[in-house]
Amino acid sequence: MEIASAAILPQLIVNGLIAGAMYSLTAAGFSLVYATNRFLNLAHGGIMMVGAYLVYTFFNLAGLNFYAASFLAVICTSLFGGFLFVSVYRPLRQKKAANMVMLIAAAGLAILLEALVTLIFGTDVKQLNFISVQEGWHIAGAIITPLQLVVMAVSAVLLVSFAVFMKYSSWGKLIRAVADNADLARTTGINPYAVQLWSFVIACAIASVAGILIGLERNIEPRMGLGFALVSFASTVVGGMGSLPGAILGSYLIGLAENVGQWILPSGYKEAIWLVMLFLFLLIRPSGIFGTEQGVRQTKL
Amino acid sequence: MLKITNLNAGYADLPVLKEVNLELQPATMSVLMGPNGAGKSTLLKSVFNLTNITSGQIYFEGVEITGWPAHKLLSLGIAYVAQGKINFSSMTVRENLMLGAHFIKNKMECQERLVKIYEQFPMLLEKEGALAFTLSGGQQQMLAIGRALMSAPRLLLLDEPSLGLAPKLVKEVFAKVRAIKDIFGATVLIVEHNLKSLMEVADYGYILVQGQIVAHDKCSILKNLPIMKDVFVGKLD
Repeated sequence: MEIASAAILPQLIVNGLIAGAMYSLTAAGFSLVYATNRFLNLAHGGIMMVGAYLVYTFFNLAGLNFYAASFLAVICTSLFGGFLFVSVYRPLRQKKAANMVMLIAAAGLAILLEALVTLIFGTDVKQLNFISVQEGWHIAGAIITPLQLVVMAVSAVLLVSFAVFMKYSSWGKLIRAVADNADLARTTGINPYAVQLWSFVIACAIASVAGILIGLERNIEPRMGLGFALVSFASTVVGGMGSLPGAILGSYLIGLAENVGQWILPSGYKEAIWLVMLFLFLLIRPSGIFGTEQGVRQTKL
Repeated sequence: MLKITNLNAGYADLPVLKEVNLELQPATMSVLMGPNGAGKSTLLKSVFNLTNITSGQIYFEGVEITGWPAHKLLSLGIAYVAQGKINFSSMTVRENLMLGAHFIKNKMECQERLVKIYEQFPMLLEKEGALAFTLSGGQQQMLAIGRALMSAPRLLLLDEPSLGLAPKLVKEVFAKVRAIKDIFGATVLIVEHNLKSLMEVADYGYILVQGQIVAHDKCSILKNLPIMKDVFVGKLD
């Protein structure tokens, strides 16, 4: 096996960080839904994809101003997410569906979304073409385009505000309470259903921003959803299930690993790298990096 | 205060409570005792609609609350400390306490109540910033009771607060509950398995055996009844 020159390493690291910035947005929402609702929403990537196609519709097809189109896309995706929650997930939960049933429903929804989008828009790749490709800046041996910097900045600002919202706002505290112990939250006067619905809607709003950024930086295609959902799942496992900082850290680790891994492996092994990471974590540290062995000192019956 | 009439409740296909009647007088401390599996916890859970109620009514201050969603009862004035995982373990002590009053918009009032709770439980102030899961069993119990009091409840339901505590701590907790009842003017209902010491502190007692109230009276009278011997030695278990 031939090892490439070390000169490409900085570029691979930059690519890894850009990938991490995009993954972290879907992973944060995926983790939020898991924390409050206790199921793996495999359709989360599909919702992100719907967000990307909505901005394509509003901007490229309807000819709206890009920012107006993005704003509309975020609103519509959030509403759409709320609709999916109320029409699919909540009825199942009310029938006391097991987590496996929820998972299958989510997988079905992911396939349905992909099929619907393919039906409407076709399988060909779409591009937003809002910011044309510009020459990048050379930083420490790597090339980074202004667009990529925008993607990373938007992702960072959004996630930091989200983390502040979760830590300090009264809404964030209610969400954390339900995530911690939904039964206790209920007897503490918190309506867990409302919190679960709003968490889902917030997760969809963040996913739609991810969809827009991915649309700007990469291409839009119907198949993008499931891949992102699986990477989000891997990120949350690596970082620690239900932990927001964990999901973000996991995303960046996976983004870096799959890109830096290309230093020694052919680029076709990208998926294999994070799948191996997922496998190793499930095997060696299933609670993830930020998962704690908490509850040991609690009185358990 | 709290009135339960002809209550039949249980879980799915398992009926537990049979024709239970109970009435709490305002500002009293009552205790519900009985062997394991008698349905003591089920009775408390039924108040919070966490069981299947097949018939009967539950009234709080004259308002029928049978089948109300659990999350509406705290703001009505009923606080409940369950068994097992009684705190938000990944949140700090202070956050836990503040959640007990999350529905109160007036921030000043919340702050005043917090100070009042800290006066009663200085340990909680000391551990204000600690995550709840790092607390010991007794501290966890204090935190849960403290959080329940943050809503300034008129009725406080406690499910086996002695669980997992050392005997010395149990006495301390009960003395605390008694003091709290007097300071906060709340009506208290405690569920316990078989604790003689509780009979000394409480005003009124109910004995629940196999889903039915078999005896109830003032604690001073109840503790001398022959049935209490069976409860205390575990003959009914």
